[in-house]
Formats: sequence, structure tokens, C-alpha cells
Amino acid sequence: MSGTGPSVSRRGLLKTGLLALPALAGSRFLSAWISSPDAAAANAAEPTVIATVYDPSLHDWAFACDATRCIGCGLCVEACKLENHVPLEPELNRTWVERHTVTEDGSVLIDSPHAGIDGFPPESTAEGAEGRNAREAYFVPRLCMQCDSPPCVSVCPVSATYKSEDGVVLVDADRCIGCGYCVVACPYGARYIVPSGEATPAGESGVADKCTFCYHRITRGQQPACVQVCPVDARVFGDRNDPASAVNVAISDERARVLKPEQGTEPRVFYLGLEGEES
Amino acid sequence: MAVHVSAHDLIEAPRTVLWAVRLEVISQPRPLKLWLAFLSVLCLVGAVGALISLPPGWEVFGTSPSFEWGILITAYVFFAITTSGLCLSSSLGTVFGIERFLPLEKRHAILALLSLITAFGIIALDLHFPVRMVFGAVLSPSPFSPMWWMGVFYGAYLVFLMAEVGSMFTGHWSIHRLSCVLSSITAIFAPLTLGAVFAVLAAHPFWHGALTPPYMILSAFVSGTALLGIVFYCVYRFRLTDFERTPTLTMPALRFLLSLGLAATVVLLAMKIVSGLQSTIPGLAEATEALVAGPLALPFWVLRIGLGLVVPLVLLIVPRTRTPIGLLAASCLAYVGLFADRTLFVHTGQMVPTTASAGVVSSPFAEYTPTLVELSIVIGAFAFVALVYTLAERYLDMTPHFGHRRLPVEIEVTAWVPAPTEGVL
Amino acid sequence: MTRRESLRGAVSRLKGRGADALRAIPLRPTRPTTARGASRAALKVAALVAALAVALFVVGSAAAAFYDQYGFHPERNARSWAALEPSYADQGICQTCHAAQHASQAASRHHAVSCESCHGPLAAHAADEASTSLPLEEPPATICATCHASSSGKPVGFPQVELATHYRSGVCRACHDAHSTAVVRPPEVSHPLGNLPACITCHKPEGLKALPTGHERAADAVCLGCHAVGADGLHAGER
Repeated sequence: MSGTGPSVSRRGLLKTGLLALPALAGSRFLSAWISSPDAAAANAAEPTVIATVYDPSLHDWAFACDATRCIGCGLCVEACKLENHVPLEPELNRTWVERHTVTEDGSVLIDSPHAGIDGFPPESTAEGAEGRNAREAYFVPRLCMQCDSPPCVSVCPVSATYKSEDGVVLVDADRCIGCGYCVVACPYGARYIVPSGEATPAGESGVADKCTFCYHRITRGQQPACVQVCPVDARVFGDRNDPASAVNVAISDERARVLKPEQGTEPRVFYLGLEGEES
Repeated sequence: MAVHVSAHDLIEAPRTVLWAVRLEVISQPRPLKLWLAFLSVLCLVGAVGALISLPPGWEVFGTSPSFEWGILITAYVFFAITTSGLCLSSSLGTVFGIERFLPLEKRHAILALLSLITAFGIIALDLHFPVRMVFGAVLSPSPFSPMWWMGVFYGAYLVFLMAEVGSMFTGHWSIHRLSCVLSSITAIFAPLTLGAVFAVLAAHPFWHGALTPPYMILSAFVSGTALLGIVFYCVYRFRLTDFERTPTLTMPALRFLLSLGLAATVVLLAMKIVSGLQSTIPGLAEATEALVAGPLALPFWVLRIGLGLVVPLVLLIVPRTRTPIGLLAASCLAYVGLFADRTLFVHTGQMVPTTASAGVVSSPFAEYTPTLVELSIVIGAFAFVALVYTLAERYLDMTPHFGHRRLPVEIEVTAWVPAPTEGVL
Repeated sequence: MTRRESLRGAVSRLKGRGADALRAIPLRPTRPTTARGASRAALKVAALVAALAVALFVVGSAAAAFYDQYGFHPERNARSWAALEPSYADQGICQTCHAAQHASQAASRHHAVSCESCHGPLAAHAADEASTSLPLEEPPATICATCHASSSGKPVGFPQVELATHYRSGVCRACHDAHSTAVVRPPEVSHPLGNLPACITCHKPEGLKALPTGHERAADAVCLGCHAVGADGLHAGER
């Protein structure tokens, strides 16, 4: 017997390799128990009540705004800020109200003083509105469209923003890098970057934020804050899977349309009363 | 003990590194010292700006939800496409072996690497969480996102450039050849993805469309060639390594490439403007009109078209101005014109809002003014590239490896090359 | 010819210099020939297998834990959004304590206005037994103007008032009850208003007609803000 060479045969090595596969698989399952301390803490913090009671695949949330009913009181803007810790600066809003003033030649002038949070002055403050006669004017509540084909989701380089199963586009604040690509990509201007000194409800500044349809409320069976405080039912929210829901009634109205349909974003927010506008 | 630093011998035997540095600085010619001191001051200004803007200090930027991409993004785009352009122009020599372009060899690689590092530095300052970008791009990739592809390609480009520059100075020529080929291929795709970052945004009709990525490649080509024009004028003027072939070989080559690039730019820009003015897409006609006849008309016509396209083309084509100084002037103007073009591009795309942004209705135009911090970072970035490249030019061996062996030693000197003066560097 | 020799022959037929190098490697390992040698070999194999399994287990679970924490888990992030606490209370919870106000509002023109539209976020108030014993803060006097101030853009049928000419603006509650929307209009002045001394001449505590409680002593303009009769017989400022 020569002393050179290893005492382990090639066959032995092959056997070890085959044994390693179940070892690897077993370790994957075991790691679900022995996850890192941070992950364990994060998992412990989420209340199991929500996880067990709410099933996102059963719901299909949608929204409808009625411009013929909106009175421009701005209570929705204030309620959203109070409910969702939106920065109080007037330049950062998850939802806002616009006044569309249609002049005699058909052009639409838009003004939104402080996003409408303090209501609106008697006359339009839009650029070029002074002295021009208005054929008609109406208020248009605006928020994230929670598009079914969202440009913001497809452009995020780190997949920080995503669409949940029930149709709401959300932002993972721990993953967002603050590049602002989604802010630039949104055709409806629904997003903003949280300034330093402020924090999203998730506790981060410098990340993208937007309307979440008050996800923490709708998963508990409540209405979004803006819908709840609207005094004239200009905002309607509901589940499209429920045939009797108010939002289905609103969407099935023949006047119902979406904003900027030519962008191909397939919004979930429908508008009534905007028939006169092109987009 | 004599210390030999590439092409340059130090004067005395140094006792310590600091002593060597001090001796070296003393021995530098005065103009060089002034130039390096000037650049160092600008770098310091940039460094101060960068420190101020570190998280969570990003409020010092002038961006807002209606104007999220400002001059830092412009500068990043500019440096990134310059990198690609350098490799595009010099690939004719390094990849295709066309002898005219071989002298560009080492210099373009160093410049490209510097430019890309600067680009990454600027974007790291603009991103709020740059470290997350690296991890996020790997752990949760987003193949539908042009920005993800841009990160992939420019990251790969950085690796290839480092291999190219490293192998260039350690003498691994087979690795160098391979990395030159890979860099040149990436240099085509990377600005394409950078253009796609803008081109996919239907929300900004000025950026949207299939014309933007090729326009970005073309801008890369022009910017890289212009930068090489400036560099090679300095090589010629200060009689740096391998300057003898510059007026007869490199400069005509660069002149040719630059005029080609500028001519193609004229065509594409005209297409963009004409189609934009006639468009019925909401917001596009207004944006193009704002550029050619609105608030941006003056910088557009004077800086971009006049000084950035027409004058350089004239300087390059007219025989009287086909001199080294003419090339320098044309390159400088084309370079500045290209920076103006990037700024105008990014600005016009966001200037005409098609919707209120986070509740703010900007009418008729969204406003953005770069803050002092942003400007200082951009100035510092340019100064950094110039400073490190000057030091590289002085202390590294820029003798082309491939070009040197293939061409004859004796070269005829034409009439308009001035008589040799005392070497400055 | 032994197997070893035939294999060597095959190797020697290979072209290239690798054949010589290959010849240097023994093609078959040395097999243990004694019982003790065999058991030692078996132990070595077992130890190697165990070490490999442990190493794979550690690396695998570390990688999996890393992905678990840093990987892409959108459903987990959605649950963390769902776990936030609401500030606005459940609609309908107010009436469990405030049944009277709710009843008066349910039959009024404000029946569609939720309590929190005027009273602000009340989830904490509804959940906290200590706070429910305190009286609820009244909304500011300007709350009515938020909806009812006239401006261009409001639907035509919506009740709006031009506040500058509508009685004394800012004291809406003097005449209007917010929950029942009942309006208690100030009584019309029964005498014409031209060429009269100041209202306070007669309407003083010891005078001809006393001032009712709640009416502060103010200038005539204040009195006339509510009590003047318009030219068409309606109250001044009313649409």
C-alpha cells in the first residue's frame, strides 16, 4: 500500500455531495426559525390580528371622485395630513383639491392654493384667470391613482415600490434609496420625497411617500380618512369585488372616466363630472 | 538611492515620503504649481459642498416634487456620457486597430476612469441612500427599470475600466486588449440605458420617445472627443509624452471625429425640435416652445447652438482654423455646449408640468434654481478630474504601447508647428 | 494486463504533455487492507462528511437569513403598512356615547357629515376612557366657513353664503345649530331704521327694551348686522 494520495475515494466525495443537498434544504427551513435578531424583532412587532383576519387577495380596492359634488372645503387634505403624518408644508401632499376654471374659449385654468387645505378664495388664483370670464368651475379631488400598470413601480431600480394583491401601490421605506425616479415617473404627480426632519409613518426621511388609500384603515374595514371626513360624499371608496359597493355604483355611471387615459396607466381612481376635459 | 517615478526622476535621494513630496512640489514649474493650486482650491470648495449635503443634509438642494432632478443629475449624466464617449472615440484605435487613433490609447482610459468615478461620486451625493442602491440592485433587482440596467452597465463599465487601466500599467496586454473590447461594447450600451432612463417617462413628453437614447450616445461621442481634443492640445502645447505625433496624427483624427459628431448632433437636434413643435402630445409643444422661444431661448440659441455647434463646426471645417488652437477652441466650445445641452435637456423635460405635483400647481413653468451647494459640488467634480488627470499626465508613463511599436520613428513635422521652446512640464 | 496497466496505456495514447502529468497521479487510491485501517478510513470519511454538512448548514442558514432580512418581501412590507394605528375613529363609534347629538344630526341636512369632519381625529378619544369623561373641544368658530363660504367652483345647489354680508360672520353658532342644522333667526326689527338714535339709547338694561343675554354692548353696526330688514323684506345678507 503506497503512502501517497488521499485516503478518500472519488466515490466518497460524490456521496458527500449528494448528502449535502438535503443538508442545504434542511438549513433553509431551519433558518426560518433561527432568523437574525432584527428580522425576528420585526416579525414580532406586526400584530397577528391583521395577518390572520385580512386577506388581501379577497379585495380589489377602488376609488371614485365626484367633481359635481366637491365643495373644495379641504377637510380631506387636512384629514390625510393628520392621519398619515404627512409633512404639514403646503408643498407636500398625499391628496389635494384643485379648482378647474373653464374659460369661455374652453381652456382649463387650474389653481390649488396650499393644496386646498384652507378652502379656496372666491375667485380663481390661477395664472391668467384674472379678468377672464369663467364658463364654469368645479373642484377636483386628486390623489394617487393606484394604477394597475404603474409607471412608478416599473422604474424603481431597487423594487422598493410595489403593488399589493388588493391593488394598492405601496413603498417599502427600508428599501427606497430616494433617487426620485418614481416621483418623476408619475404622470399624476402623486409622489414626493419626505424631507429630512420629517418622517413617514414608517419612520424614514429621504424616501418616497404617497397616498396608500389609508392601507392601515381599509385593512381594518374602515374608510380612508379623506373619504370619512368628506361632508358631501364627493369621495367614494370601496371594494370592486363587492357588487353592491358604492364605488361600483359610481364606476358604472356612464360619466365615469379616468385621468390621462392615453398614458396607459390604468388608474383605479375614477372621476365623475370631468366630461368637458380632454385629459 | 535614486527614485524613478515612471517618466520622471526625483531630484535627490528622499529621506521620507513627505520630504520627497516636498522636493517634488518645489521642483515643479511655476505655471504647473499655480494650476494645481487653483484646482485644489476648487476641489476643496466641492468637498465642503459635498460634506454639507451628506445625509441628512439633502435639503440644501434646490429640488422639489415638481422638479426632482436638478444640476447634480445633469452633472452625473454629463460625466457618465463623457466616460462612454472617451471609449467610443478611442475604440477605433484600441479595438479596431485603426492606426490614426492609436495615440489616444492610454490617455482615454485614465480620463474615462476618472470621469466615471466622479460620476459615481456625484450620484452618491444625490441619492439619499447610496449604499442601499448597491445592495438593493443585487438583492431585489428590477429588470423593467432602465435605471437598474444603467447601474448594471455602469458598474460593469467601472470594473472593465479598472481592469483596462490596471493592465495598462502592469503590462498585461492581453487583459488590456480584452478589457478594451469589453469597455467599448459597454460604452455603447451604457449611454443607451442612460438615455432610456429619460426616454421611458411618458409623464415628461420632452424626454419621451425613441430619439433620446441614440441622442445620448451621440452626445457621449461628442463629449468624449471634445475632451480628448482639449487634452491633446495640452499634450502638444506642453510637449508631454508622445507629443510629436499629435499635430499630424491625433489632431486630424480628433478633428474628423468631432466634426462628424457635431454634424450628426445638428441633424438629431433639428429632428427633435421640429417634431416637438408640431406635436399634439399634451405638453410637448409647450416644452419645445419654451426651449426655443421661451425662457430657455437665450441659453439654447447662444450657448447650445451658436457656441456649442455652429462655431465649433466652422472652426473644424474651415481650413484656416484647422490648427491646434482651432481644435482647442472647437473642443472647449463643444464641451461647454454639451454641458449646456444636458442642463437644458433635464430642465426642459421638467419645466412644463402636465399635472400638479404633490398638490403644487406650477403654472406656466415649474421653477428650479441650483443652490450654491449643488454648484460647488459640480465645480469640485470638474476640478477633481482636471487635478487628478494633470498629476497622472505628469507622473505616469503615457507612451502608447501598441501605437508605439507599429509606427515609424521619424515623423515629418509640418510648417505650422511652432519651433520647440523650453519644456514647460 | 492489470487494469492499472491498461489504463496507463490509454493515458499514454493521449496527445499533449498532460499525459505525463497524468501518469504521476495514482489512478486508484490505496485501499486499506487491515481491519483497523478500514475502520480508521471509515472514521475519516464520516468526519469529513459531518464537517461538510455542518459547513453547508451554517452557510446555507446564514445566506437564507440574510435574504430573509434584506431580500424582497412585499407582502411583509404591506403588513407593516397595515399595522399602523389610525388617528381617525371608526365611523359610527361616536354615537355609542354621544347618542343625542347623533340623533339630532341623523335627521338633519348634516346627516352625511361625519363627526370628525368638524371635531378632528378622535380615535384616541374614543379608545381612552380617561379622555371620554372630559367635554369634547368645540371646533373653532371658522369651521362653518370652511364649507359654506361662497366661492366659484362650488356646486350651484350647495348652501353658500357671502360671509361679508351675511349677518355677523364668525358667530355662526349664534343662529345655526351645527348638529340639527336648525336655524334660529334673529327677530325682525319691528320699527323702521332711518333717522334713529343709536340702538343702545333704548335697548339698555334700564331702558325701553332690554338687551337679551349674550348680546354684548356694541356699536349700532353690530346690532344691525343681524336685526336689519332688507329691502325685499328678507333678512339682510340672506340668499
